[in-house]
Amino acid sequence: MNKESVRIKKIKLFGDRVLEFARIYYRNKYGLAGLIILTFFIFLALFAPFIAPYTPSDTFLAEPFSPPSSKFLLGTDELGRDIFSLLIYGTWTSMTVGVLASLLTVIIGTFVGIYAGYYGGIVQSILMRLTDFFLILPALPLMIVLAAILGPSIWNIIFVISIVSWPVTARVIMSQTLSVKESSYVEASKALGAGDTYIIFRHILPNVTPLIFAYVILNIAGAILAEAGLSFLGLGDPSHISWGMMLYYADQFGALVAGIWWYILPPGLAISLLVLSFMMIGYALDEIINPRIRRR
Amino acid sequence: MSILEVNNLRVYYDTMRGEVKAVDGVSFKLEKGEIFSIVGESGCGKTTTSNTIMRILPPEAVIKSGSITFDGINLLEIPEKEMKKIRWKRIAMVFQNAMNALNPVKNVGSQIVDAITTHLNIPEAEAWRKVKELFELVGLDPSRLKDYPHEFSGGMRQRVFIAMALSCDPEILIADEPTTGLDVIVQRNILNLLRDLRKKLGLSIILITHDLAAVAQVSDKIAIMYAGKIVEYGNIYDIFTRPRHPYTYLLIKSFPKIGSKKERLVTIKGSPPSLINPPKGCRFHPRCPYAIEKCRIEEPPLVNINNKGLVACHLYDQLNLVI
Amino acid sequence: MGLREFVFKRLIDGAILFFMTVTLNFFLFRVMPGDPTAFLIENPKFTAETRKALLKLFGLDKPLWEQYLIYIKNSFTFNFGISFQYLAPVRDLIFSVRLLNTLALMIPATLLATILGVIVGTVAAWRRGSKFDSTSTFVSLVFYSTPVYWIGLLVMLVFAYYLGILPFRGSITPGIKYENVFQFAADYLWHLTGPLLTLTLVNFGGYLLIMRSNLLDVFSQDYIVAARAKGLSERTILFSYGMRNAILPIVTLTGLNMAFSISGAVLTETVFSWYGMGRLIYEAVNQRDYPLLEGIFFLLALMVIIANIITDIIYAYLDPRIKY
Repeated sequence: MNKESVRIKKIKLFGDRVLEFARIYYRNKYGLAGLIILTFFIFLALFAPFIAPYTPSDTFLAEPFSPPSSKFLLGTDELGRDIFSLLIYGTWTSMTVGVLASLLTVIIGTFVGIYAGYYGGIVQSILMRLTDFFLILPALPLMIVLAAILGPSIWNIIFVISIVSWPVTARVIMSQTLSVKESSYVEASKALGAGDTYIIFRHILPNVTPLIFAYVILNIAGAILAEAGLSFLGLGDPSHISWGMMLYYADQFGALVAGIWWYILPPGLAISLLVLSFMMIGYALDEIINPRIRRR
Repeated sequence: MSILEVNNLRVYYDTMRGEVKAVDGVSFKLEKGEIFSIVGESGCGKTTTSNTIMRILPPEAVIKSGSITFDGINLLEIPEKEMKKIRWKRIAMVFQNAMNALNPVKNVGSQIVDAITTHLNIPEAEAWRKVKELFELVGLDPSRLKDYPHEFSGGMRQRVFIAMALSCDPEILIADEPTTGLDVIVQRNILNLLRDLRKKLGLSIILITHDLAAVAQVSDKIAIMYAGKIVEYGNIYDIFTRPRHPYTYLLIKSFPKIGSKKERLVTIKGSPPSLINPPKGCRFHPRCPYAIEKCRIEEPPLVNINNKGLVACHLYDQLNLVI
Repeated sequence: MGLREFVFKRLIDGAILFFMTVTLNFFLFRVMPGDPTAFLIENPKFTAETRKALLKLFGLDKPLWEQYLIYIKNSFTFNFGISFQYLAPVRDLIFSVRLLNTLALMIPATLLATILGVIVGTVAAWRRGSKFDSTSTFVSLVFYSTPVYWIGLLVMLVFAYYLGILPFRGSITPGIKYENVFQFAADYLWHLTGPLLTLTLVNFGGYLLIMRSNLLDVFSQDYIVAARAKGLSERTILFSYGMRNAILPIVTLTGLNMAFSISGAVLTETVFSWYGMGRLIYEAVNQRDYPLLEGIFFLLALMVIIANIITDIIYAYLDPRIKY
């Protein structure tokens, strides 16, 4: 067989696998629902300026806390800003922070996990201790402390979330690395004189890729919640409106005692739905990757 | 008269990837007081066969056809309530891996007592006395009744499980790979124990294994299974001296014999076929060194050879398979 | 090795974690970019003497390694300096009724969430694939995805604003004079209901999902198949063979979940103005009261470490398999 036909065959095989994956995924109620909700939010985030009737800087100071009307679909906040528009613009912040923080988290976790798992020995025990330590620490208080020290900016929030969240991924990647490392083909590869870099890129990484993928998705859910939580505590970046920040302002300006439900309900519902969509996708992926619980 | 008769049994698993034909037309008879072995590679349907007899199949398994007659009753037709009176009480089972089959957080004695009090109407104190007797019967120290599974060695755990299987005085004992994962001497001890128990208690035993050599010394009759079908069936002597099916022949050739010098061990090339889309014709043909065109097209029937056994091979009377 | 040695080993682990926490804290407040004096001393409200005393207490004029040793010493006595905002020693602020209030919220919430999660998770796993199973799984996913403070806001909106049966905020009615201890208890519990409900709801989903998956895992084990083959009743299989195995990891999880619980408690307390550590951390952040923040974080981390040691020991005691 010549090289070209081998390549074609490989591509076909890969295509078959993707198709099979899509077929199984499509049958999963949760996965499908999650994907639909997510697509909706991505659409909102990308086309915010075209969808939102106003911008976050359009203030109608004469009409604070006005209830939902045809002019303001979801009413206005304390500065007379259109809550519906804030909500749409907030999508971008939540999405960006969630995705970037999750990527950074998984990059740190993968690096630590592979390094510790592959090299073993004292490096592994030290990294393990460190991982367990971070795993045990109360995450939100640590994020609060870090965010308070570093100051409010969207990049700091991304950094803070990742630096606190990486241990879970590191743990999983490390145990997977360990089992791959002990497999016979890696042993054989070593016996043939393959270098560490070669083994890591050729054998270890391809084996942990599905896990990395699943953890990126799952971590996004956690990162979005973390960003919202920090913003709700007043640690958000004031120059980027986010859903957590909207709830912070709502709480600060007494929306609750005044019963201004249109300020309280939408941001929380949005956070919930977006996080839920990622959770459902993660749940579906877990069901596919984890054959034990695959539906018969 | 045979105590158990399996007839044309077909059990398929419904999976997302398709229908797995785990057992595809299996028939055999178990005579009273006999040790009958079912031998084959893992995934050939042995365990499914035994689990069907016990009716402990997972929900995705579908019994497509067949009957299992025990004491004049078709076990596949009676309601679960009736089956409960037979299961463990009259047909008991030893599981593949006793470590996994014993509850890790309960001491072994009380696990056996659970079985006894469920089936026999006796007080708990008496059940404990019975467990003690059972421990002695299978060669375990009765002072260890209250130990936990992880405190026993592999062979002892298997004895514990055998004691549990015998706790309600069954007529048939199914032993599914009772010696897998044990070292050779322990294996032999367990098999000898089974043989002794058969004599002492008049048990009929179905022994399921992938290890032809191990069961050779204790079995009366053997069925060789391949890819969900029985390919050869006969008494132990005939099969070992004059195998008719190439698969049986290769199996025998693939383990070393004590006493024979420097004989080259044969390995069977390839791996067992997919049971979703089994090969057409004879299921063994892709791995068979003797396969001819006919084997690829036509499925060989199970034929009777001079009342000495059954074989499913187109070439059974042409090949001269010498051990 | 016996249980005693195991406990000893876990205590050593705890001590190591303690030193790691101290070190992390030291890094956060001394080594991170920025002037440590600004974090700890430079408060316009402090008098010159206070500043001098603090400088001496922390040894900020000494080299870094010496500061570290002093820091370790101070950590043992929770000597984190003076709160910027309250102008009182941090130690007195954290070891106060606030700590008791937080425990009064967290412990019942954790217990309730665990019990509920275990029960509902068991039923869901037992009736796998049923309507009950899919509904409860979905509901837990929803609670898992919902921010706890928002649930708190909703609880208040419904029960305080619309129904008026629960108070809005606080842990007691301000300015009230209690005639006896029962009146106080009633008022306290009345205020506790909202936060407790919120925190329980948020934690419960996780326990449910884990109990369910543990049990499904156990159900696929050979010893359950064997128990079925033995003809044991479904009751015996579920309780004596299934749950007994599935519930063990929950014990460890309760310890590990403390960290998660504390995060939830911080937000719940903030929303409900519950007079506890969580609310205090919120105030400390908003006032940039670094010494107080440092003290609270240290105490919370310590609480989690202790909870983990305790649950580990309970687990070891319960599981006959454990090889200490």
